[in-house]
Amino acid sequence: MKKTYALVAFLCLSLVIMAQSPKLSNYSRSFLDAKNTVQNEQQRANFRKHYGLKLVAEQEFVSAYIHFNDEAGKAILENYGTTIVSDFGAIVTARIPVNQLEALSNEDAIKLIEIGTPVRKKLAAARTAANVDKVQAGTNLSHPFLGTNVVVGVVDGGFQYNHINFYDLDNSSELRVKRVWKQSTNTKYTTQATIEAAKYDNSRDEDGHATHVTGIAAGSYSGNNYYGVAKDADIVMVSMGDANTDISDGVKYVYDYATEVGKPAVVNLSLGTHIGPHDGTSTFDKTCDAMQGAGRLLVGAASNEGDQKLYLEKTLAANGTTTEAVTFDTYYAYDDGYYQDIDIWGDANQTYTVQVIITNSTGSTLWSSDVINATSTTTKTFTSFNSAATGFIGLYASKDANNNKGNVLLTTHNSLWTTGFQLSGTNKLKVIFTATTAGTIRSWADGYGSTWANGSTNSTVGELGGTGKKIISVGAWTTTAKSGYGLTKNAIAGFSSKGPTADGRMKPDIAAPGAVLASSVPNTSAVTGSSYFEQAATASVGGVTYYWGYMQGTSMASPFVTGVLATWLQANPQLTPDNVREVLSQTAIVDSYTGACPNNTWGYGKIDAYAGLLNILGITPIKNLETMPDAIMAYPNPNNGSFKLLFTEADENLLVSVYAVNGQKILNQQINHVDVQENIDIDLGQVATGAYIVKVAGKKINETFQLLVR
Amino acid sequence: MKKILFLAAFAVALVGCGHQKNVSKTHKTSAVVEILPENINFSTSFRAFWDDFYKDTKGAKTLENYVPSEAFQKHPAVSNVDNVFVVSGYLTITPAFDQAAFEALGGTINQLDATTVTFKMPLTRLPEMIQLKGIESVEAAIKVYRRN
Repeated sequence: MKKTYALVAFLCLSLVIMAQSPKLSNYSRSFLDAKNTVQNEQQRANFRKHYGLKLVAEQEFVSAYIHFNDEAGKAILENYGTTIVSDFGAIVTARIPVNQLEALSNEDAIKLIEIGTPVRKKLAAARTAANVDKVQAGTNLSHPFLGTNVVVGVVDGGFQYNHINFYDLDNSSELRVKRVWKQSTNTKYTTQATIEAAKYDNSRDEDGHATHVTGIAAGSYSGNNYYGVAKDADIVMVSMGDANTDISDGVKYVYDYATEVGKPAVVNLSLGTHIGPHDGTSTFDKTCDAMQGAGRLLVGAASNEGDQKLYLEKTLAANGTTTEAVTFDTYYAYDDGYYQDIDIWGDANQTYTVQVIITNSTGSTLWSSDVINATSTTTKTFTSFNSAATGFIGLYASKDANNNKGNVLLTTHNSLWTTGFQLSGTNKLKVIFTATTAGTIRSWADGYGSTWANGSTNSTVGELGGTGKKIISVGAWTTTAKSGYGLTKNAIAGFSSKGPTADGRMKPDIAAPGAVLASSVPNTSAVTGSSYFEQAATASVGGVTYYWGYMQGTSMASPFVTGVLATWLQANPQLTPDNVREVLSQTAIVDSYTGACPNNTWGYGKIDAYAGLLNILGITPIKNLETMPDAIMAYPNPNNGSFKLLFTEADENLLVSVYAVNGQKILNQQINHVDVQENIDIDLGQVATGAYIVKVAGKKINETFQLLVR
Repeated sequence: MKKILFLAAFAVALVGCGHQKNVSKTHKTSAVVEILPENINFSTSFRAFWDDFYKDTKGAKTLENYVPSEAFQKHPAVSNVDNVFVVSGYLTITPAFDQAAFEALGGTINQLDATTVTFKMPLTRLPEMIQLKGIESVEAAIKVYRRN
């Protein structure tokens, strides 16, 4: 009986407390602000959809919880055209005319009005699998984390700058794209008007790669299920040229902008190549490493050759030799958009030679090149192969200034840049490696479908996205096993490249959803008419049709992590690449598909956006602990470190102890005596945001519960 | 008197010619030599590019009127900036690097760190660029690919 009385008293007290609260919830006030910004019919339609409004006879209604001071207060509702849907006593759900909401809230009988938050359609599997939903909802947190006040940079090609997916969350007329640099014409757009007017970087681009990537990282359109991770981030787009130097310039451009506006930044590179030492010493990797730091993160695609034996590694004793066959994909041999190259690297200061030969199917040599000393500056080109082949082979050797490694580049594009290399009949192309001094020779075949006969799918992470020492490199796992793609749900995508790097570092660092993802694409005929295009959705906004399509690749996994890191930067704008790795190592999902982690397929495992965010905020989820026991009520909860304990039963000689989740005692407070309904003030002082454990022990009461400080 | 007038006129003509030469808008360019200087470390990517460049110029003695072939224009290190064909790449520079001299050739740089820059240089001035002081190494830009 005493407990019942105490509970009722608590409810009344709660109501009293609620009376002291604003009469309109925060979300309700933001709803009214948004309503006042609607300027045209299209915006009105979006507004209605976003807030789940009902339109009845030209009157808009919003669903809401209405809290009353007294149940008798419900009588006023009919004066405001408000209909009760469900009655829970002093709280009802109701349908309120939008134009009456504010006036109703001013009534004395009203304690609080909370308009309903629309329940979204089933979320895309990728966001759910990586716990992005909880980050975006702000579950058990002070607010949602959407990359607010963070710059997301995308260096890529195939942008639709003004896709509806890149506008503001609640105000669809504000573009979140703040800067665009079109490198091919060195044009920089710095205002919304000029960015919108420019529209595309290349209306003839056939897949809209950059638009898809940006949508995954930071798309916000709520009219379908295909919005991205950091829905409120600022966006900087660099429409890249074709070359690695353009990418370096693009990364710097984004970071410079972020410095100018005083915000943290994360840049996405869904790009790569297999020309380079793959050990973090390339000029690209070294300069990117130097640019990263506190609030300056870089994320890259690991690459898509996880099932291609493009890597060869041979450890040879002094004077040891090995002959290795390599196969080029002849379909691409004569396409001027593709060429087949082989990049060969020894150990630092190792001397070795390389010779290229062509043999027939029985192994007889039909043609051979000069023997090239890998550490001597050499150029040799060949266009005649004794009828054993046609095309061009160039051999270029030098000792690399970045790492003192002998490097031989075998390239098959000729000086006219139009033809490659093709073997006649069943002839084979081979490379003879001879170590003058002992060491390991590594080689990557850079060409679509190129493979070494004795090659490996290990160490297939690529330059740019997969080899730097600070960049977060991302592999891809399958969250949607779409028919026809040959994928296994929850498993690593077969194309996801593997580590380690040539200097033995684990790569990728983490895995994220990358197969198959739907995201925004440009509405150009080049994209929508392409044979590669698979439509996921369309939307008509303001008379313009926008498109979403399916793609897969580590190109898609990388921006997923970019978006997640943007939400983490919102929580800690000074996050460094090392911090990120530490958080990943502590929070990534490890399951039967990943096996023991870390490893060179999954990195630290599957990214868990929410667990990572909690880690950064210093919040540890406390399992199996009551939120609120019977004998004691703590309010408010969450709080700012000051709260009250309301006792529902009397007791004596009580000790109130508060602990941080790491066990550190924050407070000890003795209470000689409490009566029923007595409030005791507790003040933790200046404590960090996070969860705390409260223990109250007296003669009769012995309770432990959790408290959240924000 | 006539002799003096003649000589004066001749002197004026000479000065005028010199003046014309000094304000000429055409630059003297160097030929593309097959062998690169040894005091700079050139990456394999640059050597491959230079080999193609040399062949594309067909051994021309000067590059004043050089326009890259349609095929060579597709090289990933070559781009058209304001109707000037340029080559892109990385330079490693020393304190002796003279940025003004570099820019006088029509080149531009973007500093990435203390010793590394990306550069763009008109193709026609590239042979002169590699003669400048303060350049320790040169890499030509390489093509990058999307990962989808």
